[in-house]
Amino acid sequence: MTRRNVYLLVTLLSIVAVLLGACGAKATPTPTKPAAQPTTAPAQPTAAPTAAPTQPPEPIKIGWIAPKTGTNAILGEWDERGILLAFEAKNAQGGIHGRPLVLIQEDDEADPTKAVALAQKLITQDKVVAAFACTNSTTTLAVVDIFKEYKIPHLTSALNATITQKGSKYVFRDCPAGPAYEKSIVDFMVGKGFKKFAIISDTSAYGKGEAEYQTNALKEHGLEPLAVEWYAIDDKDFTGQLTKILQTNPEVILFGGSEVASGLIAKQARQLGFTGQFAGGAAIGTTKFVEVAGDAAEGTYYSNPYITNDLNDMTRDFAARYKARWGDEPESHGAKAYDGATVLIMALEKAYPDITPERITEELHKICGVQGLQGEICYDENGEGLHNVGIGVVKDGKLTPVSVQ
Amino acid sequence: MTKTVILVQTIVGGLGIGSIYALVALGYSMVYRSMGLVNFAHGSIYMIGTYFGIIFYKGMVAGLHLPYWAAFIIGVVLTAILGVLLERLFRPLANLDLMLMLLGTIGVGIMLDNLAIIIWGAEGFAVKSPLPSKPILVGGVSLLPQMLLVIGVGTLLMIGLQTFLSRTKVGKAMRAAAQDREIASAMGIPVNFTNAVTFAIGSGLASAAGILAAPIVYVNPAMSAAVGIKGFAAAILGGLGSIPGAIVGGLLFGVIEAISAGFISSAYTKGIAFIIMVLVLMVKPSGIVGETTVEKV
Repeated sequence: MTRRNVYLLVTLLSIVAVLLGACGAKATPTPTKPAAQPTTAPAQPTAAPTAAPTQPPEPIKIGWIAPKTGTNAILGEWDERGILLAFEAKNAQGGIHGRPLVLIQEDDEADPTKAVALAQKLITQDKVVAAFACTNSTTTLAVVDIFKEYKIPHLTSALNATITQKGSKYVFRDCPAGPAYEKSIVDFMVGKGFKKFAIISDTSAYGKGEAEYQTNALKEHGLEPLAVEWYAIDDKDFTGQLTKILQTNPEVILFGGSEVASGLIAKQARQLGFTGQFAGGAAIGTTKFVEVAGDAAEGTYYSNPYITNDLNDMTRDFAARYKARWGDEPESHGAKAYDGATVLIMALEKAYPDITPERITEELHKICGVQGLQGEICYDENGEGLHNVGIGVVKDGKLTPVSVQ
Repeated sequence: MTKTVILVQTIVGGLGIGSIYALVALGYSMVYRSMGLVNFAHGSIYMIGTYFGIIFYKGMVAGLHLPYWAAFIIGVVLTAILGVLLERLFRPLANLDLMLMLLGTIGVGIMLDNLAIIIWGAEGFAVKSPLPSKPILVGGVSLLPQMLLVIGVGTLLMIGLQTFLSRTKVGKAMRAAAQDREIASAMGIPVNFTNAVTFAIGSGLASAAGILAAPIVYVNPAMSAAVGIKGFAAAILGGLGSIPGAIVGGLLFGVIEAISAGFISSAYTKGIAFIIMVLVLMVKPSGIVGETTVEKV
């Protein structure tokens, strides 16, 4: 090995190391916007109550674990947007009694091994008092016990029902659980007179759970799925599975997997000559599903707790602020995260001045009758707070409400 | 649908995705043949190559919406140039031991993946097919126009490559250099040049595969891993270092995947495909059409 080669290799590896480091942890101190607050109503110069403390107030550190890269990157992006919107608004009002909220963000790539390591890091090194962890079922199931062990409260937007059944009082779901979504959509489709269903889902904890809830919901109507087919989360060609499904001549194909894969499946099923209905849960009522499926998305029914931006004043206000901040129409995942951030902020307010994980957990459990974007939130002892899911349909490429909760 | 129609439908689907694997596998095999280097950055080159073409088709560069074929050519050429640059970067690695070689190429792969995330974001997007999405029905089998395009262009590229290698002077020089580096060098063949051409062609083919597949799959930086590993498995299955082997291996891998999804168990498709690969290698370690003289990794 010549000396030059060694240099080259070392240089190469250092570049890699730097780049790897660059995509790792990133704390986003949400802008506090200090002086520029009174945009309107200058009549009352009462802004900045008891300003000029001798030292800046200590920020409240909240952890966040979700995918920012990989196939599920979109979930992380939606989640982040909802949370930051709520945090920034709170910080603009001076935070929690003057203490700003800081979100310490970690990318788990939807990989449970990474999620576990990141949870440890956030708890032991960053000493967060609460966290958003995680957006995927597989990763959330992996970290529930860690948060339980360290007694740190965490909010999840993952849907697998067993997450809240592991005996942890520190986990809170910021949306309804999977069975609620699947029961609603199956009830609705059966109500429309359909009897022949086939299920296609992925082999992740989320996909397996949704397929199971769909099967259970069908059973309640005395129906059996004609076929249940599976794929790995990064599969792109579904000819084999679909050919098998189409042999059974279903009227409805139910999607159990994520938005991108389900979109591709819808497209490929139409191309293979399927003329029936598509339907599904949380992943289907998203702009991503519609984008990927294209024309094939038309007429697809979905169930969702956040069915439209135009439901009431609260959702309209949320949608307007979301659009202004992120330049994009909000969808259900952002709304879920926003609701989660809202209840966390309420719990922090109540826990003040004693901002400890134990107190925040206590206050989160007391949350009841709070109006969120997805309806009224009322946490039970397991950390389930929402139960109602509405139905929507894709019409002219737009997510359109059919029935609200 | 009769049983035969179902079988044919499944095989056609498998051949489509198999053509993608074959084009990617060719890159692995060509580079291994000429430089003795297993290039684990190849999956990332496939991903970057896809972006290089699709960004012109999607109007992501100065709002330019070029026709699909033009974007295809630009993407392939840009990726070939990237290949030449990478060859220069990898040249010192070719003579090092396996471990360093692996680390070096994996490192560059990660670098390319992260670069893509920095430039285009992690989220990804769907791409509209330039052809009608209505399938053509032949005897009950639905053939998707884009899938036919993948198979057609893929076949043309593979025939073109064979012709180039066996008929042209540069192609012959490449084969000579692959057979024996020192002697070829002594005979006046510029080995570094032929290696660069090898890398350019391998990368260009990967880009072609990616741009062809883009309207069927979903484009994001994470697409490098799945196809990279399957393309490599296909190259091994056919016989690493063999050109016909890469093609046979790729097509076979795609068909096995589709058949196991359609007829055996869709939950374990990937597992079944890899188990079959291992079984083949146990019976014939040099791969299906591998040349026994080629040294194995």
